[in-house]
Amino acid sequence: MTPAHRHPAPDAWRRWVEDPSAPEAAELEAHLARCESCRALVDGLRLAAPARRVAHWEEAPEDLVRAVFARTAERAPARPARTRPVPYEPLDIRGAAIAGDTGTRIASRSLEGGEIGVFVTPPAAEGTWKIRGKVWLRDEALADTELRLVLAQGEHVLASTTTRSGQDFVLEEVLAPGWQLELHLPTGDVWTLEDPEGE
Amino acid sequence: MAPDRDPPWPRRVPDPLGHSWAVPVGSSTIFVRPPDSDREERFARILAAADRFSDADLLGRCGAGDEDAWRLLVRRYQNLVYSTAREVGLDGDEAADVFQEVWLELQRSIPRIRHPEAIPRWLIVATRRLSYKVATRRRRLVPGISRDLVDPGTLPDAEIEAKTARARIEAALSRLDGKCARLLRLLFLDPANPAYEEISRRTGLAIGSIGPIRSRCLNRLRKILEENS
Ligand SMILES: [Zn+2]
Repeated sequence: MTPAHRHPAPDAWRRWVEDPSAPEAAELEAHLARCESCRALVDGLRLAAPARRVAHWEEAPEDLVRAVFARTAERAPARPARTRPVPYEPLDIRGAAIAGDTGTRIASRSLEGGEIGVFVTPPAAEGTWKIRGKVWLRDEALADTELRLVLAQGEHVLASTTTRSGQDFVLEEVLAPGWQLELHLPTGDVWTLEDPEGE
Repeated sequence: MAPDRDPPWPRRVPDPLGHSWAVPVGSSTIFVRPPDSDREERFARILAAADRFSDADLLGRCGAGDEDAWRLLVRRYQNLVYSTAREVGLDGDEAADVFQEVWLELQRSIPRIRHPEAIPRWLIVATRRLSYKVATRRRRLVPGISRDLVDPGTLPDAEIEAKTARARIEAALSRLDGKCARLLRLLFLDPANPAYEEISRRTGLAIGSIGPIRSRCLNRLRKILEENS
């Protein structure tokens, strides 16, 4: 058996695993053919190669993880509510416009049951977008009902808040193009307002 | 058709996690905990078998209100989330804020997730966006922080693959004994690429015994990874 100090250094094997065309490749391959120990090392390097490509790895402090368990346990687990999306129809009036030169955009939907409208103001430089808006429901029986607003981006719920018919609401979030604002009505209907600039 | 009386409905079936009863109700499943069980002890038992559950399994259980499945999911990816926040340049306090926000966002997003198998990507996307949010809220200039973090389109697949692989290998290492795990980390994952002399000094192993121990430890690691895949 070859003594330990005659094996190529782990670094040499590492370079070779990452780049098999390295100049010392022929020499390494010849060694590998007759050394079981180095074959085991190379197996390990190959196994770990994808994981080694992370730029930074650090363990989350245990107290942080426990704090998450405590905070998430306080909240009811998210259960899919029975919802009925209200699709865009010819009746809808969808509006999108630019207001002034602050970059503020206006978006609104007018449906049979009411209206939802927002001003969307991007940050001056870095930071959060501001979505200010209002919901009007025609059904007076729903005037004092709490309505849920959900700001989502694909599979991410960025924020969730409540409002009432006729009341102003404000959401401040970091947004990428393509967000949706959903109004969940007690009837199960969901009105969706889409980012006027997103596709 | 005669009503189906056997088995009675809803039917209790043993939950494969072994800690509660899965009760099918209509098209969904609720989990009922046996009243006399000891939570911590049970959780330790589940942890040992946890790696056999896919992300989709766990997410489905979280959606049904299973708190243990939720804890397992957080455990599986806690370091991926924390590392991502630190990698973009946040300090410990900022990374702690982001860490909390990411898991809260996941909790409220569960019913919306259509690709549970892509949960590492989901977590990295959320961590990057929330890192940007926290850094700009503190009006702190962090060199790695830019608007690019907000756009999921700028997240390279290679980064997701590497972090997923790392989380998977770390989970397997955590099931090895401490000596094996330390040796394999030094040999295969330490970015400083320590030489055998350094590894020997840090593990207390003679240089000549590193090879045979490494082979044994590597076999165990491979076995765990194969069991889990
Ligand atoms: Zn050798």
